[in-house]
Amino acid sequence: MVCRAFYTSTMRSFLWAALVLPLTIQAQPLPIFDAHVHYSHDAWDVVPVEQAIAIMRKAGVKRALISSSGDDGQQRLFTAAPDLVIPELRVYRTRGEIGTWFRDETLIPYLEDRLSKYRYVGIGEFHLYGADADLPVPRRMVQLARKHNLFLHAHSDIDAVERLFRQWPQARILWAHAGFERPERVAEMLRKHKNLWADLAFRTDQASGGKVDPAWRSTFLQFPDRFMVGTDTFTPERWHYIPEHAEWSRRWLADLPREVAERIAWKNGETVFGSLLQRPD
Amino acid sequence: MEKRRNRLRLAAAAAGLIFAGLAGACVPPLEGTRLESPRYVVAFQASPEVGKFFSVEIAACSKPGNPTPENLKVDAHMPEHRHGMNYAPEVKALGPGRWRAEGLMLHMPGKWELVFEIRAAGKSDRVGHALLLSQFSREEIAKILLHGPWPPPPGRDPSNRVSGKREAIAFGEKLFFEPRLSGTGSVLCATCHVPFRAFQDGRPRGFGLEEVDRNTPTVINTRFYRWYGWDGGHDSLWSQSVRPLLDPREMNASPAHVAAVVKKIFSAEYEAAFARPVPGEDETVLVDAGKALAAFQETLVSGRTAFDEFRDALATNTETNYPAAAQRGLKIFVGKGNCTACHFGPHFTNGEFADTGVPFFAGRGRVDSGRHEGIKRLKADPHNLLGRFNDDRARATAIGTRHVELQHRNFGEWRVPGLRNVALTAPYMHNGSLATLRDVVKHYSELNEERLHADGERVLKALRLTEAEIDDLVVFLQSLSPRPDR
Repeated sequence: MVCRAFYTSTMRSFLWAALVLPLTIQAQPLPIFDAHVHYSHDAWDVVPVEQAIAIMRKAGVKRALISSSGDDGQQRLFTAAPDLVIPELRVYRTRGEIGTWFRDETLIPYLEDRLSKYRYVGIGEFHLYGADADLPVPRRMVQLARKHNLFLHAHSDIDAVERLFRQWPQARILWAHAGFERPERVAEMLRKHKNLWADLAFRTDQASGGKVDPAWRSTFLQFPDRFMVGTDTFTPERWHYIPEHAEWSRRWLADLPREVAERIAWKNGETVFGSLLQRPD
Repeated sequence: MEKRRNRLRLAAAAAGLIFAGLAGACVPPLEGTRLESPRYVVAFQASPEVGKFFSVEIAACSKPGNPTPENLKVDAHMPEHRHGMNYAPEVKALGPGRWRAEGLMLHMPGKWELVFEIRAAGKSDRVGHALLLSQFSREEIAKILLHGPWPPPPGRDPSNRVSGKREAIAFGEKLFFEPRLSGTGSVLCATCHVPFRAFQDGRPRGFGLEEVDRNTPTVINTRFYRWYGWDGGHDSLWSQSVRPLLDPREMNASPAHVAAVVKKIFSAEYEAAFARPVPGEDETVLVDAGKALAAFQETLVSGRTAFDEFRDALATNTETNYPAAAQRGLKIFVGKGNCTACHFGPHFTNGEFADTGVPFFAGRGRVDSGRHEGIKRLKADPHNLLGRFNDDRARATAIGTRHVELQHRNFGEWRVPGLRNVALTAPYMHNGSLATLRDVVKHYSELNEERLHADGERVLKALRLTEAEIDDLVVFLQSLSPRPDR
């Protein structure tokens, strides 16, 4: 009788756990790996380090790939929250260099200096299109990435991505905004290049009203390990968009199979970048 | 322009018929503008634009009894400037009575005269044709003409059953100037929308009971809007009119308070406007107050301006005394400034939203996200056009509300304001951060492109205007306000 009662009670607990526990896990907000954050010079005063970190933690951002125009800001964030911040080295000393950096020879000593002093997982996000990718400065940047075994975070068209891979066939590239390309073209590129990942920052076409677009769904299901989400804080004000963006991402990701949603939300970022920071020099 | 050319052709054809019908006339073998000398009839086709080489197709025939034209000369000059062209055109004979003149160029705008000299039997006949040459290209003229006519034809708002109704307009006007509508009895719509300040307040940020985050927009010409408020949080003038009544920082009223004021003070006006006694449901009375306020505001339409006179004259190729500086500014506006990309049409706005690089922190650690928050408010608003208060049963008025969708780029976007009356509505931008029109022009001249997303609106580039160009653009913008006599 006792045994039976124990059995019944245990079974009840087990069933309860089996039913309720997944729901509890399900109820936890999906962690977010934000793969596209900038903390540039104009943000440092208006969004101080403590506030920036608080915003990310409150938004449920597990980790963030962060770069700064003017690398110091990002280093301050990394020092304050090494568990949260994954640093990448932006090629701009000020944001105004977006359209000029690829012809600026003075950039290379800057990159060499920063790479000798600090640890990064990648170089980027840089803006580079078409044949400009084969100019001497971007070529030298790729060589530095190769030397330091770093990702390239490229805001580029397909042509430039192809040129970067031709320069360094083993390169690992995070394709910012998935190149603002159609999902079919993104799928083609991912199929062609095993070392290409894509962030979905500043895109809304992948989902509408919380429902994933069919073409994007097919691409996500074909390449569940190759996508990440990102806010793109290209102005200081957009730091306050990080929580909203995380919520928005969770809403559309909920329309995908749970495992795929988790991979895109945070596991891919964690797998690809989380381990890089642990490696010995 | 094409229309004008067609008109010219029609006129020429009509003139041809008249000439043909006249005893002693002849018909030259070309459709076009027709001129007549004592011995000859000349027809020509030309489409000159300032500063561009052009050719002239010419035909001439001799009236009965006169010798056949032997050759022809073409020239052009500016009678008021006392100079001609900088180039000598070449006239080629194409066949009997047909010529083409090439290499003409009218190098400045203004009044020109195109002169044809027909020679035969040792004598020459001279005929001239006056041309008023605009400094604007055909493309520019087409863009300019789209900024009118003004005012647009009157219409009524189908979502508001009392729109355009005289009794509702009168009721709305009383409400507009009624402080008892506010929770404190001290603030009226006209506190911020001051009639003698073009129905705004001249302050950087509005101040009802407290200072708010945004600049007070004028309510003149609001009848033509698609979205209301800097963030487009409302989709009708009547729902927008309800918002400040309830905002604690502005008028701090409640639906019950507004309903009580209407019942107690304005029951006769309400009944006249809505053809029923004041209903018991506070929410309905509140919305109806909004509809009466809207009916009044719909009557506030800006007057005709110096620009409108110029625009209409351009349409008919007639003269006006529109200042040269304003014309130069207009040329920048429709040309290299590309301002018409957003500020187009008779209202000088596309009615939508844009991020033009204006910072949008509303205070330390606080942002005013503009259109992003506006869309969320719109969707949640029980008074939106999808709701029960829309009097348009077919809901055709609700198409924008039904389809608008939140996008990342909406964060920090603001409504593109119309530019009519713009000289009267300083300061500028959503937060009143720019004091003068000159500051606004300089903002676009020195635009901080770093604040714009690399894949955002490609139209926005720093214009890098000279000081003189900035002055001209300001003069043009000033010409969009009504003349004092209108």
